[in-house]
Amino acid sequence: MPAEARQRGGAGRAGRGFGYRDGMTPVEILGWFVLLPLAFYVLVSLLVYIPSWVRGPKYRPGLSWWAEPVWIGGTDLDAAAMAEPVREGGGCSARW
Amino acid sequence: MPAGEAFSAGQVDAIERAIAHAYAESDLSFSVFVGAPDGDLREQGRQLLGVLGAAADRCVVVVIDPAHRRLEILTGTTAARYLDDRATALGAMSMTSSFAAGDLAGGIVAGLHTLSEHARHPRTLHSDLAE
Repeated sequence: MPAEARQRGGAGRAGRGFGYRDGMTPVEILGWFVLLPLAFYVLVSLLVYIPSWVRGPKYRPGLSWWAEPVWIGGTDLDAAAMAEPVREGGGCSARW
Repeated sequence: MPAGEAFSAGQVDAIERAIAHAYAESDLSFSVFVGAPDGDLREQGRQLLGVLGAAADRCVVVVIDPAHRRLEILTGTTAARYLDDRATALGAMSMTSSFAAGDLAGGIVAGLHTLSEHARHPRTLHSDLAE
Protein backbone atom coordinates (compact mmCIF):
# COMPACT_ATOMS: atom_id res chain seq x y z
CA MET A 1 0.00 0.00 0.00
CA PRO A 2 1.46 3.40 -0.95
CA ALA A 3 2.52 5.60 1.88
CA GLU A 4 0.14 8.41 1.05
CA ALA A 5 -2.84 5.99 1.05
CA ARG A 6 -1.90 4.78 4.53
CA GLN A 7 -1.90 8.35 5.75
CA ARG A 8 -5.61 8.84 4.95
CA GLY A 9 -8.00 9.19 7.86
CA GLY A 10 -7.68 10.94 11.16
CA ALA A 11 -5.60 14.09 11.05
CA GLY A 12 -4.41 13.29 7.54
CA ARG A 13 -7.77 14.28 5.95
CA ALA A 14 -7.82 17.70 7.49
CA GLY A 15 -8.86 20.25 4.85
CA ARG A 16 -9.64 17.60 2.19
CA GLY A 17 -13.24 16.61 3.14
CA PHE A 18 -14.09 12.95 3.78
CA GLY A 19 -12.80 9.83 2.09
CA TYR A 20 -13.89 6.21 2.05
CA ARG A 21 -13.69 4.62 5.52
CA ASP A 22 -12.60 7.89 7.13
CA GLY A 23 -13.55 7.98 10.73
CA MET A 24 -16.11 10.58 11.86
CA THR A 25 -16.71 11.80 15.34
CA PRO A 26 -20.34 11.79 16.68
CA VAL A 27 -20.36 15.59 16.50
CA GLU A 28 -19.38 15.46 12.82
CA ILE A 29 -22.08 12.86 12.11
CA LEU A 30 -24.65 15.04 13.86
CA GLY A 31 -23.52 18.12 11.97
CA TRP A 32 -23.40 16.59 8.48
CA PHE A 33 -26.38 14.26 8.60
CA VAL A 34 -28.80 16.00 10.99
CA LEU A 35 -28.04 19.70 11.39
CA LEU A 36 -27.13 20.42 7.77
CA PRO A 37 -30.29 18.82 6.27
CA LEU A 38 -32.33 20.48 9.00
CA ALA A 39 -30.84 23.89 8.18
CA PHE A 40 -31.58 23.31 4.48
CA TYR A 41 -35.16 22.31 5.33
CA VAL A 42 -35.65 25.43 7.45
CA LEU A 43 -34.18 27.65 4.71
CA VAL A 44 -36.49 26.25 2.03
CA SER A 45 -39.49 26.52 4.38
CA LEU A 46 -38.70 30.17 5.10
CA LEU A 47 -38.35 30.95 1.40
CA VAL A 48 -41.77 29.41 0.82
CA TYR A 49 -43.63 31.01 3.73
CA ILE A 50 -42.05 34.48 4.04
CA PRO A 51 -43.88 36.01 1.01
CA SER A 52 -47.30 35.02 2.38
CA TRP A 53 -46.34 36.25 5.87
CA VAL A 54 -45.42 39.60 4.38
CA ARG A 55 -48.64 39.82 2.33
CA GLY A 56 -50.84 38.85 5.26
CA PRO A 57 -54.10 36.90 5.16
CA LYS A 58 -55.68 36.63 1.72
CA TYR A 59 -59.38 36.84 1.02
CA ARG A 60 -60.78 33.45 0.09
CA PRO A 61 -64.39 33.44 -1.14
CA GLY A 62 -66.63 31.32 1.03
CA LEU A 63 -64.37 31.42 4.08
CA SER A 64 -64.81 33.74 7.04
CA TRP A 65 -64.02 37.46 6.85
CA TRP A 66 -61.56 38.65 9.46
CA ALA A 67 -61.12 42.38 8.91
CA GLU A 68 -62.57 45.47 10.54
CA PRO A 69 -65.07 47.46 8.44
CA VAL A 70 -63.43 50.14 6.32
CA TRP A 71 -64.92 53.00 4.28
CA ILE A 72 -62.43 54.23 1.71
CA GLY A 73 -63.30 57.63 0.29
CA GLY A 74 -66.04 58.06 2.88
CA THR A 75 -66.33 60.14 6.02
CA ASP A 76 -67.32 59.02 9.50
CA LEU A 77 -68.21 55.34 9.55
CA ASP A 78 -69.40 55.47 13.17
CA ALA A 79 -72.04 58.03 12.23
CA ALA A 80 -73.65 55.63 9.74
CA ALA A 81 -75.64 53.81 12.41
CA MET A 82 -77.34 57.07 13.45
CA ALA A 83 -77.75 58.50 9.95
CA GLU A 84 -81.08 58.87 8.22
CA PRO A 85 -81.10 56.50 5.20
CA VAL A 86 -81.36 58.09 1.77
CA ARG A 87 -84.26 56.52 -0.16
CA GLU A 88 -83.88 58.31 -3.49
CA GLY A 89 -81.43 57.36 -6.21
CA GLY A 90 -80.62 54.11 -7.92
CA GLY A 91 -78.17 51.25 -7.85
CA CYS A 92 -77.96 47.51 -8.12
CA SER A 93 -77.23 44.36 -6.14
CA ALA A 94 -74.93 41.49 -6.99
CA ARG A 95 -73.57 38.27 -5.48
CA TRP A 96 -70.55 36.15 -6.27
CA MET B 1 -50.38 43.81 6.93
CA PRO B 2 -51.47 43.93 10.58
CA ALA B 3 -54.20 41.47 11.54
CA GLY B 4 -57.68 42.95 11.25
CA GLU B 5 -57.08 45.19 8.24
CA ALA B 6 -58.83 44.38 5.00
CA PHE B 7 -56.20 45.83 2.67
CA SER B 8 -52.49 46.49 2.66
CA ALA B 9 -51.26 50.08 2.39
CA GLY B 10 -50.49 49.56 -1.30
CA GLN B 11 -54.00 48.25 -1.97
CA VAL B 12 -55.61 51.18 -0.13
CA ASP B 13 -53.42 53.51 -2.17
CA ALA B 14 -54.55 51.85 -5.43
CA ILE B 15 -58.22 52.13 -4.44
CA GLU B 16 -57.82 55.79 -3.42
CA ARG B 17 -56.15 56.53 -6.75
CA ALA B 18 -59.03 54.80 -8.56
CA ILE B 19 -61.52 56.91 -6.57
CA ALA B 20 -59.63 60.11 -7.43
CA HIS B 21 -59.47 59.08 -11.10
CA ALA B 22 -63.19 58.28 -11.10
CA TYR B 23 -63.97 61.69 -9.61
CA ALA B 24 -61.81 63.46 -12.18
CA GLU B 25 -63.46 61.56 -15.01
CA SER B 26 -67.10 61.71 -13.95
CA ASP B 27 -67.32 64.57 -11.44
CA LEU B 28 -69.05 62.15 -9.06
CA SER B 29 -67.72 61.18 -5.61
CA PHE B 30 -67.11 57.48 -5.14
CA SER B 31 -66.57 55.65 -1.87
CA VAL B 32 -66.13 51.99 -1.04
CA PHE B 33 -67.29 50.29 2.15
CA VAL B 34 -65.91 46.82 2.88
CA GLY B 35 -67.22 44.97 5.91
CA ALA B 36 -69.66 42.38 7.09
CA PRO B 37 -72.65 44.31 8.50
CA ASP B 38 -75.56 42.46 10.02
CA GLY B 39 -78.86 42.84 8.27
CA ASP B 40 -79.75 44.41 4.97
CA LEU B 41 -76.74 45.50 2.95
CA ARG B 42 -78.77 47.96 0.90
CA GLU B 43 -79.98 49.65 4.08
CA GLN B 44 -76.36 49.95 5.21
CA GLY B 45 -75.52 51.65 1.91
CA ARG B 46 -78.47 54.04 2.28
CA GLN B 47 -77.25 55.00 5.74
CA LEU B 48 -73.75 55.62 4.38
CA LEU B 49 -75.29 57.92 1.77
CA GLY B 50 -77.17 59.59 4.63
CA VAL B 51 -73.89 60.34 6.43
CA LEU B 52 -72.73 62.26 3.37
CA GLY B 53 -75.60 64.74 3.81
CA ALA B 54 -76.25 67.15 0.96
CA ALA B 55 -73.29 65.80 -1.01
CA ALA B 56 -75.02 62.41 -1.28
CA ASP B 57 -76.78 63.55 -4.47
CA ARG B 58 -73.54 63.35 -6.44
CA CYS B 59 -72.17 60.30 -4.64
CA VAL B 60 -71.84 56.64 -5.49
CA VAL B 61 -71.36 54.22 -2.60
CA VAL B 62 -70.11 50.70 -3.21
CA VAL B 63 -70.92 48.38 -0.29
CA ILE B 64 -69.09 45.05 -0.25
CA ASP B 65 -69.76 42.21 2.18
CA PRO B 66 -67.01 39.62 1.58
CA ALA B 67 -68.32 37.34 4.33
CA HIS B 68 -71.68 36.77 2.61
CA ARG B 69 -70.41 37.50 -0.90
CA ARG B 70 -72.85 40.36 -1.43
CA LEU B 71 -72.40 43.67 -3.19
CA GLU B 72 -74.53 46.80 -3.43
CA ILE B 73 -73.92 49.89 -5.49
CA LEU B 74 -76.00 52.92 -4.52
CA THR B 75 -76.20 56.17 -6.41
CA GLY B 76 -77.49 59.54 -5.22
CA THR B 77 -80.23 61.34 -7.11
CA THR B 78 -77.96 63.37 -9.40
CA ALA B 79 -75.44 60.54 -9.75
CA ALA B 80 -78.24 58.23 -10.92
CA ARG B 81 -78.83 60.55 -13.90
CA TYR B 82 -75.32 59.85 -15.19
CA LEU B 83 -74.98 56.31 -13.87
CA ASP B 84 -78.16 54.37 -14.50
CA ASP B 85 -78.92 50.97 -12.99
CA ARG B 86 -77.70 49.15 -16.10
CA ALA B 87 -74.32 50.87 -15.86
CA THR B 88 -74.03 50.08 -12.15
CA ALA B 89 -74.81 46.43 -12.96
CA LEU B 90 -71.90 46.42 -15.43
CA GLY B 91 -69.63 47.84 -12.73
CA ALA B 92 -70.87 45.23 -10.29
CA MET B 93 -70.17 42.49 -12.80
CA SER B 94 -66.56 43.57 -13.31
CA MET B 95 -66.12 43.64 -9.51
CA THR B 96 -67.70 40.28 -8.76
CA SER B 97 -65.69 38.47 -11.42
CA SER B 98 -62.50 39.47 -9.59
CA PHE B 99 -64.00 38.89 -6.14
CA ALA B 100 -64.85 35.31 -7.09
CA ALA B 101 -61.16 34.79 -7.83
CA GLY B 102 -60.20 36.18 -4.40
CA ASP B 103 -58.96 39.57 -5.64
CA LEU B 104 -60.89 42.17 -3.64
CA ALA B 105 -58.69 45.21 -4.26
CA GLY B 106 -58.25 44.48 -7.96
CA GLY B 107 -62.00 44.00 -8.39
CA ILE B 108 -62.75 47.31 -6.67
CA VAL B 109 -60.28 49.18 -8.87
CA ALA B 110 -61.63 47.55 -12.05
CA GLY B 111 -65.23 48.23 -10.99
CA LEU B 112 -64.53 51.88 -10.22
CA HIS B 113 -62.98 52.31 -13.66
CA THR B 114 -66.04 50.75 -15.29
CA LEU B 115 -68.41 52.93 -13.27
CA SER B 116 -66.51 56.14 -13.98
CA GLU B 117 -66.32 55.39 -17.70
CA HIS B 118 -70.09 55.04 -17.84
CA ALA B 119 -70.67 58.10 -15.66
CA ARG B 120 -68.50 60.34 -17.82
CA HIS B 121 -70.45 63.30 -19.14
CA PRO B 122 -69.62 66.70 -20.58
CA ARG B 123 -69.63 69.58 -18.18
CA THR B 124 -72.59 71.86 -18.75
CA LEU B 125 -72.63 75.49 -17.81
CA HIS B 126 -74.79 76.41 -14.79
CA SER B 127 -75.89 72.83 -13.96
CA ASP B 128 -72.37 71.55 -13.15
CA LEU B 129 -71.31 74.41 -10.91
CA ALA B 130 -69.27 73.49 -7.85
CA GLU B 131 -71.52 72.91 -4.86
